[in-house]
Amino acid sequence: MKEVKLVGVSKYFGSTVAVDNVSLEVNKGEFFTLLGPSGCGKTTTLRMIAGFEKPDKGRIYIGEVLVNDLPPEKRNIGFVFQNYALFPHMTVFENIAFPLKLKKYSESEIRRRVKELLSLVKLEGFENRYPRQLSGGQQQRVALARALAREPDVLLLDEPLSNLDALLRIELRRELKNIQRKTGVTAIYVTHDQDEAFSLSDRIAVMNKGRIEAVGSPDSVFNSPRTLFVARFLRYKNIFEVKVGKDTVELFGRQFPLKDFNVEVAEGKMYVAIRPDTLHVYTKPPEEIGGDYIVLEGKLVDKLFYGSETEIYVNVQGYELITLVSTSLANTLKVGDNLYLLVSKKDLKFLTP
Amino acid sequence: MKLSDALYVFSKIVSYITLFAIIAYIFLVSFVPVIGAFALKWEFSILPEVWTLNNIKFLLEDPFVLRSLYSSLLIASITSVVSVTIYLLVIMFLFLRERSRWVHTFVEVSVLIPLMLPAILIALAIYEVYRPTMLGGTYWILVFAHLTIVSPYVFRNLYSVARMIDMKTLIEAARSLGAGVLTATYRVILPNIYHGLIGAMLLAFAVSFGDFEMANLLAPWQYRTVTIAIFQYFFKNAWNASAIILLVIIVSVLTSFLVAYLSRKALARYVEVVR
Ligand SMILES: Nc1ncnc2c1ncn2[C@@H]1O[C@H](COP(=O)(O)OP(=O)(O)OP(=O)(O)O)[C@@H](O)[C@H]1O
Ligand SMILES: [Mg+2]
Repeated sequence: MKEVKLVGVSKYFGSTVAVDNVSLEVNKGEFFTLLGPSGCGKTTTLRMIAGFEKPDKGRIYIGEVLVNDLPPEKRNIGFVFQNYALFPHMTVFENIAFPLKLKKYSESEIRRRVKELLSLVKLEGFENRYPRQLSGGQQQRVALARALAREPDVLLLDEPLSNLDALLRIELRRELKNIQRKTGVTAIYVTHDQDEAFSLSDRIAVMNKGRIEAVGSPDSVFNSPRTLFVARFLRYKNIFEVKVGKDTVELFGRQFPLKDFNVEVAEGKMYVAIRPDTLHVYTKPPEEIGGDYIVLEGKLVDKLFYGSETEIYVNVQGYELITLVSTSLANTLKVGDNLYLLVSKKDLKFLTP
Repeated sequence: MKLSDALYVFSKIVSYITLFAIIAYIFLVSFVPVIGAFALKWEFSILPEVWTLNNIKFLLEDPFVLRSLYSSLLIASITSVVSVTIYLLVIMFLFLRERSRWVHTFVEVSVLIPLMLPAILIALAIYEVYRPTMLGGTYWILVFAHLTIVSPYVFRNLYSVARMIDMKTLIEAARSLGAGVLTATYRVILPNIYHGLIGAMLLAFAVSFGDFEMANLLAPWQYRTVTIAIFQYFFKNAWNASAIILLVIIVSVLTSFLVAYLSRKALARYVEVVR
């Protein structure tokens, strides 16, 4: 296993900027995920690390080695494709043995290693099947075993689970994580599915239009979005435009000193996001609030029943805030009631456009 | 019996009769020369009136006939190997490098052009273009001509099998596993387009072998092909010509088997399973 480093990497397809000045460091043995919407350049970034595409600018290192000019076959990588890409004319055994034969392993070594890999991906006994005789999930396991066969320095995975149905995807997700832990291989994973990214990864990079907008642990990426795009992509609700002055900020018609908030910004247009679960609902003005909290007064405009919880819509100075309350509480409320929303200042996430 | 049942039986009988008639016709047409090869006199009856082996004897004694057979085999072999190699490269380029639908369509249509033009027209064009060059007077001029007429068959065959596999991803998969481009092509792509490859080679061979129009105009004197020989003998002695045709049929069948067998063997060395 090795670390991977990208320094100022860009890739253009004609006039499209697929990847725009991306710098990244993936540590040894880390499970690193590139997360982002369709067309944001995840695959292109991964393919450049693999050597399938050549960067137009920047440098890529695997370990200490600058690999810009190394063809894929010289990089010692493993690549798992969305559509499995098993060799149709070879059996499961032959598929997994393929990279080992190229490395001139002896017959008995190959046999031993294939056996070991098949047990790793839980496919013992499938040696003599052809890919077309396997389900999608089984094919992807074979592909994973094949990619791990020659102990790659880095394992690259491009949406490997997205062709599988929802249940299987979750099952295989856990196994994938286990296999990565067991082998200790450095893994770079591409997906547009945030649940997948957050549950699998040690660290995540969120990409937008060829750029990286956020990098960090799942916790820090999820809880501290810095840009409007990241907040929207992570399905934050309650996102509003705010005006930031020299040392004050106007929020819901009131002025607050800027130093109260965890924000380093220039003046001008910004956005603020408040997660519904950080808004606490009171029917009377809450007492004893410290300086760390803000109370927003508003009127209930709508309720949406979701089982044990109910989503309520509260109008605060013309802004509509969404939050969740228990259904039993919601049942005591009616449209037009006065409500007080308590929110911690640190839960206001300031976002650059 | 209901009317619909009767209709069903009737239509079945009609289709069998039609099928039988077509097969009989094909056999008849191909067997006339086969039987003719053993005829001395054959005018008004279903089978020859006087039989002989002299036509076969003539065949084995006349140096021109054997020489022409050799020329045809040589030219057809070169044409089939060269055309399949060229179009394999073209198709790999199309599938690996060229994403534009327009380029694909353009190539698909262009290779069909020789089908629409009369062969004699292409032959004349090639004659005009190549006669003044080094190729004029060699059999290569005929190979070049044949490369044009075989192109639709070779291209179609290879293209249709190539589009059934995801060539780009398969090559990338092989490369990510440590195979160079050549190894990837040899071990992963070729075995998967094997059927198309053999089909294309056989078709190219057959088209080149069977060509008369181009050969007649372009073949140099010492490389006159077997179709020319048949044509020339036909006016001298039809039953001698029949004997040549019999020979051609035998050779064609043998070559088909040989090509299929050899390529299967060659490929089997590189992959454990060829289906
Ligand atoms: N070979 C190519 N030729 C031209 N444009 C390309 C090529 N590959 C990618 N692009 C373009 O580059 C941009 C980034 O594509 P990329 O495939 O990296 O996105 P992605 O993040 O993987 O998206 P998805 O989630 O849809 O797979 C897109 O606008 C795409 O159209
Ligand atoms: Mg992609």
